[in-house]
Amino acid sequence: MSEIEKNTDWINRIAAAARLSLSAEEYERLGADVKKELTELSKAVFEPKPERWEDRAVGLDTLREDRAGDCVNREDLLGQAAFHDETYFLVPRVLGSEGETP
Amino acid sequence: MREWTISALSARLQAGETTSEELVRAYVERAKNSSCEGVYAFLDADGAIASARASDERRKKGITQGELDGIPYAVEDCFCTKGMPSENGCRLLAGYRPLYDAEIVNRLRAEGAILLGKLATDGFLAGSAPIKRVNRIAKAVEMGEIPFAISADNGGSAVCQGAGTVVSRYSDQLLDRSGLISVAPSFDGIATITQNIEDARLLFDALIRSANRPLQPKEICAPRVADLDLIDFSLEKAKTSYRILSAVETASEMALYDGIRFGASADDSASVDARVSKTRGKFFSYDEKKTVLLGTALLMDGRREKCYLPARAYREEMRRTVDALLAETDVIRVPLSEQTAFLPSYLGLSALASDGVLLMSDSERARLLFDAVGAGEEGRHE
Repeated sequence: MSEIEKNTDWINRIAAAARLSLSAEEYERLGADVKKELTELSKAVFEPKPERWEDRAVGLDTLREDRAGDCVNREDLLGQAAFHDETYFLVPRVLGSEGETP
Repeated sequence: MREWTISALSARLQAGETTSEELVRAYVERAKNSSCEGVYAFLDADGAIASARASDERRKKGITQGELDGIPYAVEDCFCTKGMPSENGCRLLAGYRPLYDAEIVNRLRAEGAILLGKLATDGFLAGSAPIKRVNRIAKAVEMGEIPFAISADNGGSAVCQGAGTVVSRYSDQLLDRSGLISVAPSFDGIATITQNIEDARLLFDALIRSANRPLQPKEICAPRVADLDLIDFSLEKAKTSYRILSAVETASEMALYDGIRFGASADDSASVDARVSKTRGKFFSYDEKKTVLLGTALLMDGRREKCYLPARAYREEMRRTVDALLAETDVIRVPLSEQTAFLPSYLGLSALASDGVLLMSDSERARLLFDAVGAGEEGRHE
């Protein structure tokens, strides 16, 4: 396997996990850019060891109080989506044979 | 530019020297001929004039809602505004008009402030390019083209980089950030950008008042100056930790943007996964894709244990150290960052914008500091 093929395979796996389709040119450019940044970030050696402390996820450990408010209108909500009918968001078929329209 | 500060404009409105409508028309004209190119993503001249007229009517009846009543302002385009474009600089959100207002917009409306429009932002680029957007907004405020602005602060990006202005970054506990289009949730916060300390204090009081969180009466004492101890922190590690955590969190936040429930969508796919992938591939910019890929890659192939978890632990160590320091002293001064910023979620104030950022733990200390620094500022002006 050539170096380019290895890079493409590597970024292909990440793009699939990130649910991101890329053009051939992007695979090459992004693959190189992301790999360079990852290499740099991977060099950092942090102390203490992660098992020492549980991160409190600063800012995320406080929940807002519940407050009653206006309900969002269904029609308005559906109107935000590119594909919808009067009741639902429309997506391609999840179960069943691929290629069938919803 | 002192005649264009919030306090000066408020005084002119109270004295009947001008009306809110005249102010709004003047600022709309300024926005159209702005020397700060590209500062606005959307200008709502008609909506602002209608709100200004309502404010003028209130004033005629003697029922103003406070010192901000009738004062124009603008918010960064990463805050949701009902019926107004809120695109966060992202093509996938082109034309997106939220069904609700961000809490900060609600609060300022309750104070009578007039929303002029949305300020252009760089979108989902936490940790990589916050400088341009903050500088652009700060310059517009400094030049008097907006009386004050509301901006997002991603880990200190606003408070560290709004040179020439006074930037106050509010903690989550003090100011609800709901309606802020999140980039990296554990770093995100709200910042106010004003021309001087007096305006920052005025805005601080108004926001706290409208949040129905009166400050607890407390004996006022002079700020203490603790013995100076050098704290051994590696800024290089802090920046690396910030880059790792912000990339992972941004990639996770951006998973929401799939083109199913809102925003643009690719339309030629036979499966949900394919449609989502094509939508994100089609509408994310190169830099957004890079952030998503980097954040995803940092959780794969053993990097979660090697990079992500240690970076979190390092941040936790910093947070605990800062907490311990703030338990002993009122204010900590930290240096400004010219590049990426790294601040935990404390209340931050760039009171001395060219020198450093001041961190404090609560609003009581912030108020004391506003008074102390404000007195110094008055002295300088006189």
